[in-house]
Amino acid sequence: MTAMLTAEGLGKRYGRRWALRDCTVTVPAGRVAGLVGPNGAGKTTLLRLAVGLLTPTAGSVEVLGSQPDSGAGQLARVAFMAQDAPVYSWLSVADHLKLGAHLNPGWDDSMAQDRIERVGLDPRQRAGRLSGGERAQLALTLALAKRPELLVLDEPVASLDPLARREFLQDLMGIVAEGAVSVLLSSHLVIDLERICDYYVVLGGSRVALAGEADEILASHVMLTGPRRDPGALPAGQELIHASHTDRQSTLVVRTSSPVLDPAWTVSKLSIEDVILAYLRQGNAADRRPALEVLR
Amino acid sequence: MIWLSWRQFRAQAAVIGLLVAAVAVTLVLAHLKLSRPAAGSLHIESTESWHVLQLLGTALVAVPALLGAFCGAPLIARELEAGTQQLAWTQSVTRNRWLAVRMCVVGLASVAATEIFALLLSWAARPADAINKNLFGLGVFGERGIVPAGYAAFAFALGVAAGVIIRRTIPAVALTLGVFIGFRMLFSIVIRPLLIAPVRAVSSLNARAAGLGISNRPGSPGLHAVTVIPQSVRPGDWVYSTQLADAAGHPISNHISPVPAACQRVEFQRCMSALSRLHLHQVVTYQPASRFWAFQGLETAIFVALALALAGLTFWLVRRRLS
Amino acid sequence: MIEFHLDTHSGVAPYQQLVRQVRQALRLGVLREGEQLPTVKDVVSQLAINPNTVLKAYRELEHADLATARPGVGTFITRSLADTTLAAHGPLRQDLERWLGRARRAGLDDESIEALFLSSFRASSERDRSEARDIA
Repeated sequence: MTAMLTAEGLGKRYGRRWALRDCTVTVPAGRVAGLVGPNGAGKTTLLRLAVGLLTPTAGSVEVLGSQPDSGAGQLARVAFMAQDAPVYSWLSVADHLKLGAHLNPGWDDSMAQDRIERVGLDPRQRAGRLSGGERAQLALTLALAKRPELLVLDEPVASLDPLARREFLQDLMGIVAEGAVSVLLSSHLVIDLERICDYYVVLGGSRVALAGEADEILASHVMLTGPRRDPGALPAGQELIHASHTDRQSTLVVRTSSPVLDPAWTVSKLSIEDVILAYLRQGNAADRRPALEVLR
Repeated sequence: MIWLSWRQFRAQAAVIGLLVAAVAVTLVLAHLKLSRPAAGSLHIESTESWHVLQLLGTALVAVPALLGAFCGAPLIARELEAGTQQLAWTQSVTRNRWLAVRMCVVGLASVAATEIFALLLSWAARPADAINKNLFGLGVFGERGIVPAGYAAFAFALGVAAGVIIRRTIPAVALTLGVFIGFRMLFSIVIRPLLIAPVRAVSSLNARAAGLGISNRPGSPGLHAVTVIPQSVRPGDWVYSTQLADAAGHPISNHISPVPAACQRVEFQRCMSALSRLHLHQVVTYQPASRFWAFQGLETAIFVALALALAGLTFWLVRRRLS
Repeated sequence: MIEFHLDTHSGVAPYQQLVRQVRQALRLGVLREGEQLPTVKDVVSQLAINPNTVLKAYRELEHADLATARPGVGTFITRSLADTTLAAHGPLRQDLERWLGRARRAGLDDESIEALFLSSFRASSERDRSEARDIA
């Protein structure tokens, strides 16, 4: 199956600042992929490059096997929902659907109308008067009704209250359950993604820090706690991601392909969020000189 | 796409439509009044209809600027401000097509509205123009014929380009107005005279040719100099300059010194004879009235070419300078 | 029909939680043989989780011969777990309640009761497992 997204050394520079750099990752199709990282890490840049709103300064990107700017056909296969769900404030909800119908050959109008009714939007309401959650639902409807193969969502729930957030994700997962659509969404809140993502791409410092299937990430990372000692003495096959020490205790996050047998360590499992944070801290530590240890 | 452009500018279109209708009605009435002047009315310039025409002529100056600013500048700037280009450019329509359709629909509508206004004005003012014969005048040339369409196209393209460069509506509106008005003035005053090489005619002045006049210098008893007041070669011609010349054709000052005795005594006929014995000639640099349409065509072509260049720039910027 | 819930902080993988909830429902007789499990779409629409999670859980239930998928119709329970042990539930529950009463009268709070129960349970399970290993 063609990959959802293939990036090779992808980079984007604004003036002298690289918003994204050396991004090489292949995200398989049919997944719900989460793009995580702190603010300013390049998530929005990567998503905009994927949908053709930006062109790369370096490297290349392919989406569903084609270049993002290869024309109307490619645009029809990919749907994008930008941060804060921009809509035309002077158009009504119904007019937005009309817009979608005019501009997309694959538009499914009955699905769009049904969805608007189901999420409780008033078709005659001007989009400028919708709440954040309603705008997000409108933008999602516009994205879904063109029947894309790939849905790209930039922080779709960031400005939603918890109930609206849950409803949005419920809807999104319902749609994924129905059809052959891949999803790539970004968030700086991992907790939202843990429920729904089965693939993760972690950006730290505008680079890819970690990428892989959720199950595999969970299976291959463990937390080791034990008496304070130098983590440099790890056996082969185990890679230190992040270490923190108090005066008596060391805590390591380690990537390993085999069980840890050293009796001095207590081995515990990690959540996805813990693993991601460890990689982000690793990235930060490498950037700062001298490297700091986290002391509690 | 066409539907979207219409919806976005629905309000502006309504206002313009109403204005054009109001203007049309006013002009029809004015034309009717001018063609049948009331008995006993004096010179045409004192009639009310003429004032109305002047007013509308001035308004027509502003029309392309306003359309360019308020229809052109927001076309893209407003999308960029609201972030809706992220919505517009990820539908199944390429950016080029999106831009092309919107520019054409709104641009052509602006040009058409302006030109309708201008044609109505030209038609309504025909009786007055026939008398005044001043088609090349600064306040008249730009409000007749086809140049208003050229101005409208240029102003619109300027507005759109300003919107893409500045990315914010209100500064783009201001820039469009400023640049358009400045360039229009510059063109009318400096560039238009240079478009076609003028005709240089030398003719002799004698008492029969109505080329001489006498004026006093105010506040002085008697005459100190005779100033020749140039008369235009023909009504409707556009005179750049007139110059007195001697019998050999060399330019001399328009002030004649010493003043012939007959003129000092303000004896008009004798003064005229004395002056004609000086074998004065007049060098007139001018554009004949018949070149009116050549100028119209050239100026329109230049403004349209500029509009197309700006449109090309806009396309390039939208493609390269991506949000 | 069973309704699932998810405990994100339990440390147990979501698909395993679903499997456990089905097994629990079967043991308690809430779910019976022949009944339909909720569709994947219904589960994800309610819980906002990845459909693959549900598919994984249902596949595991199929492997354990507890359920079977009928394409185009749904997933159905093929056998129950309640038969042999359900009868013993009643008296066992009564024993438990009596024990709990004694623990409270001895002054144990909730945490101590839970710790006492879990450590005994684990120790006993460990003994059973090592006995099973020795035998095998």
